[in-house]
Amino acid sequence: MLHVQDLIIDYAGGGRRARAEDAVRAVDGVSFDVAPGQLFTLLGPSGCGKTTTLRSVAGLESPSGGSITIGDRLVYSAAENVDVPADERRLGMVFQSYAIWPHMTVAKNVSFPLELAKRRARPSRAEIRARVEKVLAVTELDAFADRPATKLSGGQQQRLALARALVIEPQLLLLDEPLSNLDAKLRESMRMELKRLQRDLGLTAVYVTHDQVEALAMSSVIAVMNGGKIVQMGTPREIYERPNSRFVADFIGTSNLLPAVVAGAGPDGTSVRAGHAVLRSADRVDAASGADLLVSLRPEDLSLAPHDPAAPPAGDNELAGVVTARAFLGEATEHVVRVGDRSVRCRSNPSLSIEPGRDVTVRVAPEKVRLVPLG
Amino acid sequence: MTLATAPPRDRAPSPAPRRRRAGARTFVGVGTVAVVGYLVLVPLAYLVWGALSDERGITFAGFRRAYADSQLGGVVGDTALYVAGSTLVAVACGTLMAYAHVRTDAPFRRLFFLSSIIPLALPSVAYVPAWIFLASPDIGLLNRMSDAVLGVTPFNVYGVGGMMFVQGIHSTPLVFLLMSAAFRSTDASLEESAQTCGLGRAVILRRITLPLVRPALAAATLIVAVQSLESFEVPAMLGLHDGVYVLISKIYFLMQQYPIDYQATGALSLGLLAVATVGVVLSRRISRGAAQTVTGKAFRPRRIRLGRMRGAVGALTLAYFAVAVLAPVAILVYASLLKTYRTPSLSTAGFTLDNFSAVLSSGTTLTAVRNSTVLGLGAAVVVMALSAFTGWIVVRSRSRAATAVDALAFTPLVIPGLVLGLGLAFVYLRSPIPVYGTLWILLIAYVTRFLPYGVRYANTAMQQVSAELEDSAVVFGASWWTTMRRILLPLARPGLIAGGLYIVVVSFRELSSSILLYSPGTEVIGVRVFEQYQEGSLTSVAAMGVLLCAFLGVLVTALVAVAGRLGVDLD
Repeated sequence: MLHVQDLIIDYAGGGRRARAEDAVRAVDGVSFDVAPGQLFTLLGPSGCGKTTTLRSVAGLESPSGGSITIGDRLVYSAAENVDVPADERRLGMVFQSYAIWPHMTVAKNVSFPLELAKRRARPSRAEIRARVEKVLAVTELDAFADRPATKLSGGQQQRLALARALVIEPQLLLLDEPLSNLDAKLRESMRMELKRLQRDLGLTAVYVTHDQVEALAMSSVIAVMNGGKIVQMGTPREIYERPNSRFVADFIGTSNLLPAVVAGAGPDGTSVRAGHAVLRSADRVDAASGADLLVSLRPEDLSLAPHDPAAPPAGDNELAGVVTARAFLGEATEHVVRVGDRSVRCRSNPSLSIEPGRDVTVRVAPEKVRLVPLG
Repeated sequence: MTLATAPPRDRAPSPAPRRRRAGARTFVGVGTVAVVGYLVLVPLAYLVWGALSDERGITFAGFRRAYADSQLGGVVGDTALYVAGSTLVAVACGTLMAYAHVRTDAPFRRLFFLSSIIPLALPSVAYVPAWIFLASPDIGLLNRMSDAVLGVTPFNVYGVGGMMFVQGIHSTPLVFLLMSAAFRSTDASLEESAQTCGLGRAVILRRITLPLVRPALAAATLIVAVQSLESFEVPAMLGLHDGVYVLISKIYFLMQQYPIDYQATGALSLGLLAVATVGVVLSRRISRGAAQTVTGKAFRPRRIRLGRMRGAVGALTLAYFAVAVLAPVAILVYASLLKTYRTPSLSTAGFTLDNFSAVLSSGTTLTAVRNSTVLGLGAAVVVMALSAFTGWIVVRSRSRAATAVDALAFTPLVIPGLVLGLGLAFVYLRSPIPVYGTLWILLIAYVTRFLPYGVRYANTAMQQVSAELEDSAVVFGASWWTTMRRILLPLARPGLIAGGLYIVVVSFRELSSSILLYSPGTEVIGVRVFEQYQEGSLTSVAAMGVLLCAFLGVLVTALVAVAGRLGVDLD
C-alpha cells in the first residue's frame, strides 16, 4: 500500500548564510513497506526524523532523495523527477495539534475536505451531508455537529480530527502523535478506540509516536528510528523481546543492560560471563569466545528471593546482591539490587517486599536472557 | 461500518510524473516581491542618482555644496542637541512610567494606559500648535500665568529647548509601550531571589532590573532618537520661527528655494538617511539579542509595594497626564472657540463656533478631508493586501528570500518622510508615468511609508496561526490559493483589520511626505493645517486640530479594541 525507498531529507540549516555543508540530514535512507490493513508505527525519540518522514509521505516536506509510492501511484521520486503536490495526494491525516479549523463548525470541519475535491469528482451536496453524518456518527460526534469546533473538549477535538481524516475515505491514513495532547486516562481509552476503528474500517495507517507503550499496544509493525535511520523493524513482540541494539533495548520498555563476555556457545544457546556470574541464554550468537556484548534483562523477568545461607553458592543464572532501594508502585514492587558494581532493577508481585540492606538472590530463566550486540 | 468498502478511487491510470507546479503561489510571491522592491528601492536609487548626477554625468558637486556650507556645523550641532535632548526626555519619562505601571502598585493604572494611547490620536500638526498656545513667549498661557504671579516669562517653546521638550513628551508613549513590554517579560523571581539575599530595593533596581532590560532600553532609545531625527512637524513649526534649523528642516528649507538645488538637497538627505539607518539597524540588532533572554515561560510579574511613595508617584502621574494630554487638549479646544486668540480667563465671552463653520465650509479644507479619506482607506487596503502576502512569505514560505523580503519591507522605517517625498519627486518628475501632481503619487508615498507597520501587524497575526492548520487544509486537497483564502486569511483577519485601522490613523496624521508631493487640489489634512499655521491663523489650526483629534480618537478606540484582543503592540 505504501512503499518508501531510500528516503533522504535534508534541512538547510544555519539561517541566512546557509551553505550546502550546513544542511542537516533529518532522514537518512529510510525504507519500509506497509501492507493493506496494517497499522505501521514509526517510533523514536524526538528529533529522530519520524515526523519528517510522515510529512514527506503527506507531501508537506520536500525530500532530496529516494521514492514514495502510495497504492500503485508514484508520488515522489528523485530519480524520475516526480513530486506530486500534497493537495493532490488525497490522504487522510491527523495532526499532533489536531489542526481543527477554529473558524468553522464541527460539521464544516468535516465537510470542508469533501468540498475541496475537483469539480468532476466532487460529491453532491446531499452526498456530502450523508457522509458527514455517517462519519460523525462513527466518531460519536453527531450531537455536536453545529457547535463551533473550538467548543469541544480535548478528546472530542481529537475525534473530530479523526473524523475529518476519515471522511474522504483515504487509501492511507497518517497519524502524527495524535494522542500526545491528551491526559493519561483519556489517552488510554482513545488508544483502544483508535485501534478498534482502524481494524473495523480496514484502514491502512502510518502512526508516529514517541510513546513506546502506545506503539506496542497498537501496531502491526513497528519501525524504531534513531538519528534519521530505522534501527529495527518488526512486530511489537519482536521489538520488545529481541532488541537488536543497545538503543532499542534502552528505548523500548525498561531494561537492565549489563556488559558481558561470551564464555561459550552450544547448540541450545550461549553462555556469557557478566561480572562474577555466568548466565546461560537461549540466544545463539555467532561471536567467538571472549567477544564483548550486552545482556538485556527486563525487570519483570527477574525473580527475587531473600538469600538463603543454607543454599549452595550461586549457580548459573543466579546473581547475588544487596537490596539498595525499594518502591511500592501499586501494581508491582520495584527493588533496586546492587550486583557487583552494577544496579539491577527487579519488578515483582506487590506482595513481595524486601527491606533495603538484605542480601538477595536474583534469578532469570535462560530464554529471558537477551544478548544484544554492543553499540 | 462501510466507510472502507467504497470503491477505490482513480487507481487505474497513474498520473504523469511531474514537478511541483508553478501556480498562484509563485505568481503571488514573485509579484509581491516585485511590488515591494519597486516601492522601496526605486525612490532610494533615484535619490542617490539625483544627488550624484547632473547634465554632464556623475559629480560630487552637490555633496560639496551641501557639506561645505558654512552653516552646516551649526545645523548639525543643533540637530545633535535636539535629538539627544528629546530622546532623554522621552526615555526618562517613558521608562519611569513603564516601571511604575508594570512593576509597582502605583495608583491610576487606567490613566497610564490612557496617556500612552491618547497621543496616538493627537497628531503633531495639532499637538505642536497646542504647545504654542501654552508656552510661546508672547501668547503662551504658562508665561502669562507666571508673569501675573511672579513677574517673569520663563517659557519659550520656540528654539531648541522647546523642540526638545515637545518632541520628547510626544515620543514618551512609544518608550512607555516598548519598556512596559520589556518589564513585563523579565522574570520577577530574579529580583525576588536578590531580595532574599538581603539586597535593598535601590540596589536591586540598579544591579538586577536595569541590566535585565538594558537591551530593550538601548533599542527604545535608538528608535526614539531616529524618530526625533526624522520627524518634521516639531522642527518646522517650532524651529523655523526663530531660524533654528535641524537637518530635516534644512532639507525642507532647501526645497523651498528657487531654483531648487536637487543635488545638494539629495546629498544632505543621503547623510540623514545614513545616520537613521545606523540607528535602526543597531536597534534591531540589539532587540534581536534581547529576544533571546526572554523565555516563553508565563509568569505574573509581582508588583512592588510603594508604601509611602505611592502618593508621590500618584501625584507625578496626574501631573504628567495634565501636562502631556489634558493641558494641550484643553487649550486647543479653548482656542478653537475664539475668533481671535486671547489669553484664557474665566470669561466665556466671545466664544463662537465660527472657526468650525469656516473650516467645514472651506472648499480647500473639504477637498483635503476628502483626499485624506481616500488616501487613508486606499493606503490601508493596499498596504494590508501587500502585507498579507509579504507576511506569508516571511512567516510561512520557508523560502530563502524570506529574510531579504523582511528587510526590504522594513526599509521604509529608516527613510524620513520628507526624504521619501524627495525621492518620489525625483522618480516621477523624470518618469513617463503621469502621477506627479495627482493623488496617486501621494498614495505611493503612503503605501511605501506605512508598509513596515502593515507587515508587522500581518507577521504577528500569521505567527499566531498554527502552521498545522494550513498543512491540514493542503493535505485534504486545498490548493495554495484556497488555503490562503479559506484558512490563513480568515484566521489572520482581526490582525489585518487592526493593521488597516492603524494605517488609516497614521495616514490622517501624515505631513512630512505630503508636504513635498501635494499640489493644488491634492492637499491633505496635514498640509492644510500646516498652511493655516504658516498663514498665522492659529485659531483655525486649533479648530481643525480639535476635529482631527476627535475623529482619530474614535479610530484609535476601535483600534485598541481590536488590537487588545490580539495582543498586538501599538508602537
